[in-house]
Amino acid sequence: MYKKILMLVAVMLFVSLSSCASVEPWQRGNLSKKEMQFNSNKVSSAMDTHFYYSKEGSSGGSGFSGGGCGCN
Amino acid sequence: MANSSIKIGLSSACYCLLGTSVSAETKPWYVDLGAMNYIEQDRNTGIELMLNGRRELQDGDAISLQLDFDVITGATPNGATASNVPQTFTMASGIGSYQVDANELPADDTHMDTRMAFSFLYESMLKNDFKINYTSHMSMEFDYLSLGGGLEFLQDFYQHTTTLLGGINFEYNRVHPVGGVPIDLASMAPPGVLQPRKSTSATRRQSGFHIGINQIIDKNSLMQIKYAWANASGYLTDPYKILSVIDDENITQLGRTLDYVYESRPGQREIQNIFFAYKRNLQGDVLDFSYRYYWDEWDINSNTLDMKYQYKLNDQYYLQPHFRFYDQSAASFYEHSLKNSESFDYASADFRLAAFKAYTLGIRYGKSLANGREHSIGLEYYTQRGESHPDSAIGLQKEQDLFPSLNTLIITWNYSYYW
Repeated sequence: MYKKILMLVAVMLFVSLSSCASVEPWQRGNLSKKEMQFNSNKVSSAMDTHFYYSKEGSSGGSGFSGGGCGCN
Repeated sequence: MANSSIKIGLSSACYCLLGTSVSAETKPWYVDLGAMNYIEQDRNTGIELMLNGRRELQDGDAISLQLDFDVITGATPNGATASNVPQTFTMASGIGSYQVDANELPADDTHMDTRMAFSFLYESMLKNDFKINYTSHMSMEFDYLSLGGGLEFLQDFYQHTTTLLGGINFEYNRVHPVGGVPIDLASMAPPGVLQPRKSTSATRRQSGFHIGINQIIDKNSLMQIKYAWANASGYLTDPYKILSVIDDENITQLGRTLDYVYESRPGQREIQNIFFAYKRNLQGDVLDFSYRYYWDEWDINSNTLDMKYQYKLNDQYYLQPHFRFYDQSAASFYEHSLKNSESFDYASADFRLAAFKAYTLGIRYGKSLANGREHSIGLEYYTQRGESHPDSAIGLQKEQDLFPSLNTLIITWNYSYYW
């Protein structure tokens, strides 16, 4: 388990340190589009999350919390 | 006229909640509406309706409200295995019963559930590069209540190129099943006979934290990495699920069903996952990729790969194919059935705790309209495949499908606009 967490931290550090070419604010036209946001369609994502939560044994990741349902 | 009254009322309520004046600068609500209808072959049908409204306030703050209503009806697998003879099961209330034909998957076709949920998010921009998100939710079913909340901190660096985030969350759940909470691994009483129960309701709690990073890679791509940890405790058992107890001693009737017992799960579950997401703009098209690795104290490990590609047909229309692959290992206490000669501390035959693979294949067709409005419809197919004839099956069980495939058709509709 600790190996996995260490691996994650290492990846995060690598990403931060190699932090990519500087992208100036005026170069972010494409990035500012709605479809380029993480979780750009909240309703669609929330319905998918609820569907998969009720059908599978694991959940989480993109969302914030648990399922909030009995889902029998 | 009625519209503006509702808007003024809703705005006033929100501003009162936030302790600010109604005369603050007003911006329109961004409203996102969604509907989902899923149809499982020979099992359940569900309909979910959702509304999300987000409004930007002064100084970069924003509020979001979400309403969710769903209803599910049809036949839910009760955990027992199919048998070569018809089977009779007692309903959860203990009063009635339902029959299942020979060689059919035992499923409770009297099942119907409705759920209403409400959630609230307030995004507070404390400085140009530091934000706190406050969340809360409430979800209600006739036999289930869930309340929860959380905090998330986001700090930007390098002219908003890098965002570090971290958060905590808490959830309280109360289950009050029809008929009461059954005693773990107790035999199912015949209809009309009093079923011993340990209580009328039970609680479960979950708390956790997450940390992560959002990173702009270049002017066309960005990524996110998150690690999340949570601990669930309390009554984590499904009060409606049972297991078949199988004869493994009488050589002439190996695999015959002798009894049905209620399932039992450990009262503790530590959960962890690592999530990675990547988005890239490809001359107007958008590639959306994510991967999650999950592991928990019940020995469930899963891999989830999700890929969408938004293909622009022209300035207005797009097509978005979607593929998702999911693979999970079984919980340590998953058993398709119990052998009569063995004893167990915990056992569940819930298919969701079995080892299986799942695939989603779908397509979405969307249209951008004037004034920021957007409309889309989607069609998806979801299927689960597990081990139908495991080596652990004995005698008569070998003739039965011990993990019948789940095949589901999902239809979705979305409409968003400024209000």
